[in-house]
Amino acid sequence: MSSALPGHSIAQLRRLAQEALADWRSRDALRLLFVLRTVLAAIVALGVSMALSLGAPSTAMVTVFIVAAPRSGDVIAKGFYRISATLVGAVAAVTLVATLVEHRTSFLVALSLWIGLCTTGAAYVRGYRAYGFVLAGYTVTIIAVPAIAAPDLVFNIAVMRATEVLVGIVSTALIADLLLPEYASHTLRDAVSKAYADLAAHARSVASGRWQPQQRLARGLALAETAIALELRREAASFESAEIRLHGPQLRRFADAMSRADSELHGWSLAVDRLRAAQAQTPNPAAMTALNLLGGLAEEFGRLIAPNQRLPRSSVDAAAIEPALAGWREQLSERAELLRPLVADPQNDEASNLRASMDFDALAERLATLVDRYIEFTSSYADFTRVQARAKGAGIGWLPHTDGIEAIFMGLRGAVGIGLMSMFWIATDWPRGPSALVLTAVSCTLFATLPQPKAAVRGLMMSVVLAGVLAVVVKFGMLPHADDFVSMALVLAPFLAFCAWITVIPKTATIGRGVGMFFPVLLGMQSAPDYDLAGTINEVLGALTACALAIAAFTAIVPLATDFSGRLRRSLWRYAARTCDGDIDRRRHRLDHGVRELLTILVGRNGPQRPELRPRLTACALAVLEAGHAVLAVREAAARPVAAGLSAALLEGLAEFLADPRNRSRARSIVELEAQEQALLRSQPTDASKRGAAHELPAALRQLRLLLSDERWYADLCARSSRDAADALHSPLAHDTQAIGAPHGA
Amino acid sequence: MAPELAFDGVLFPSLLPVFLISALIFWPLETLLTRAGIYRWLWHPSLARLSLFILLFAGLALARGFSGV
Repeated sequence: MSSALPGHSIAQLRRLAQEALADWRSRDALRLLFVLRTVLAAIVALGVSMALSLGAPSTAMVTVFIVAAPRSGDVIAKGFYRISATLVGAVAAVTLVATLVEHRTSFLVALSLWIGLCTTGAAYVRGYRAYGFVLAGYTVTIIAVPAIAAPDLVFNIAVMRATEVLVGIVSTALIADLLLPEYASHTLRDAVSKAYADLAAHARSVASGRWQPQQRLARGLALAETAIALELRREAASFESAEIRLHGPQLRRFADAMSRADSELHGWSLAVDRLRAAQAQTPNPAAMTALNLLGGLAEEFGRLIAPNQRLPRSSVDAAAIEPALAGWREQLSERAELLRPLVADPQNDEASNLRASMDFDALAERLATLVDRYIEFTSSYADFTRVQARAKGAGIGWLPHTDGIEAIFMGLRGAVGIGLMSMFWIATDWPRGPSALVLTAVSCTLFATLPQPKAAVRGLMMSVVLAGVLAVVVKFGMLPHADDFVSMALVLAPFLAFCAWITVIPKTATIGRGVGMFFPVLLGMQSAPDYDLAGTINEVLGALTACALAIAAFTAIVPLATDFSGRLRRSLWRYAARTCDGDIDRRRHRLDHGVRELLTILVGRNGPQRPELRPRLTACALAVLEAGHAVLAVREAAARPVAAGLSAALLEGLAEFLADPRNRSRARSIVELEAQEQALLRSQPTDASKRGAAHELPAALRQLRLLLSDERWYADLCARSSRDAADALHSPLAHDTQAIGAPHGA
Repeated sequence: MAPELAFDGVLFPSLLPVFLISALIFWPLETLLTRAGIYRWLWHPSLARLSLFILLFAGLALARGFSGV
């Protein structure tokens, strides 16, 4: 026995060491590589700009810090949008200076308008494209403002800026793609398999009945975050190679199938929960039997999702479980039909038995749809292993939804910030005015679309101070001793490494980005350096003043217009109300996509300005989905040939209620639904043991009525605070997507 | 080959159109190679991609230089 112990502990130690190594490889090694690549790229960019005698090597270095990212796809994507936006901005700047430079006021007005326009545009797109819009806005300031004093030079300034930016991008992209590259396509693959495993785990816990409705908000947010992350990673990875571009339609289909399967899971679990709650109020043994029978079927389904208690980990696993799921689904309707007679309880009266079998039918239908959606989802994942699956059409994808008014207000805020700074500059004749104006443009536009612009600008001020201290130390303490490029690079390397390192640590990332932006600028790297301490300090003070003005613009000028959650809620309600008329399939499509789009806004960059509203609005979105689907189920049942049809007044009343649930028409709708249900049941033969198409409509009406009478659902729909709204989580992914989605840099 | 092209008084390097044409050829070529699965057999796909582009660009530039256009 004693000999087994050392052997055991060695194996254990080895495993621990392997785990530690894997952990280190997955996190710290990535960070170290990132730091190494960034420092190298910055020095290469500096060297190239100096060798080509370009005027402002700092711009190339700043560009390196802005486009640097741990994965090459992100670098190339951001670099692509940066150079495109710089070119657009350069053309706009040259045009602006050529036409308006004589009239300073109209010049500044036009500049503000351009910035407002670009900020508005940025609100309409996501990810790197938004960054491109913002950059096209303030590049004009960077090029045109210094040219006011010397309009003849504007073309040279524009060419110089574009060249420097290009040098920075090319050196960063080449080093990221060639030197021990980390590919975004690998992260994308991991993200897809994680999204599949997450939904599979969720489906298993729903099917086994372990899932609690209180978890719905967390799940709704997590799903939206996953979808955003998938879309952003797809965008970055498609810049890496044609591989991901070829897979693009499949990824869209996967995301579509994921949201549809999730909707069904959500609907099923809450419908079961509602029937349980109804049981607690008025017990009906027959209904209890129905619930238990269907619960048994759902559990079988749950076991198929994870054969041998193991969740599928790859698309090959998913392809393996697909036939089993499809085979089970084929038998499902037959088995439900066989179980149906067991629902009726001889001791019950006729009406209770009828209600119970109606509930059974409605839930069995839901379960069948749920399994269908889940099979679609599984096969969309399994398709990644099949080459011929590329031929299938693309999914719709998650199109971003933007509130036009909100976007215009964001643009207005950017424009007002620039206007204010311009007036201040004209009125005081401040010598640092031009550079402060540039910085105001940067902070106003970059941060105008963020949920917390003031905090972001405050973080920027901290980075200005830190970068100022670093720059003074390096410029006046160390650089004078460096007499050639190699020694200069050696002096700079540790400081550049520090900037890169704090960028990659999530806690200090925001400040790190700012330091990366300002350190090279304040260093003032030029072919012939000027050692002017007062000038550097003045530059720091000017930057701080500009930040303070940007905060003033955010606080004092347009603060009232910043909360758009009411509008968001109304657009959600509109989706539900619209399900009451029009083409059923089209409305279902619009409902699923529209609401999911709005949900991604809640977790995305353009979310509500008050983060505490997020869980409430998420709950509202989920309640809208439920209501919409319930209404559509009623309308679908009413459209069957045997059905008696619905009264138009009922649908109108429902539409009126859903368009603004705070009004008093809820009780009226419930009463009308019940009256219609009873009328239908009276007019038709009531044989609880036989399942007839005639029962579908009353069953659907009953589900809708139960939903409308559900107090928790109603509180969710009105986006009122409820107890479980507080436990909505901030998952680590939320920060991740913000880090990817939020544009940084100058 | 003239070193620079004049366009409305603004000078552009004459290699710029060659670069753009190489990029236009490279894009579909890369898609074809990916479809064929070539990159799966290579040690460093990005390096191979870059080398391919440089070959294309340099080849076109030299061909243009020789033809004297």
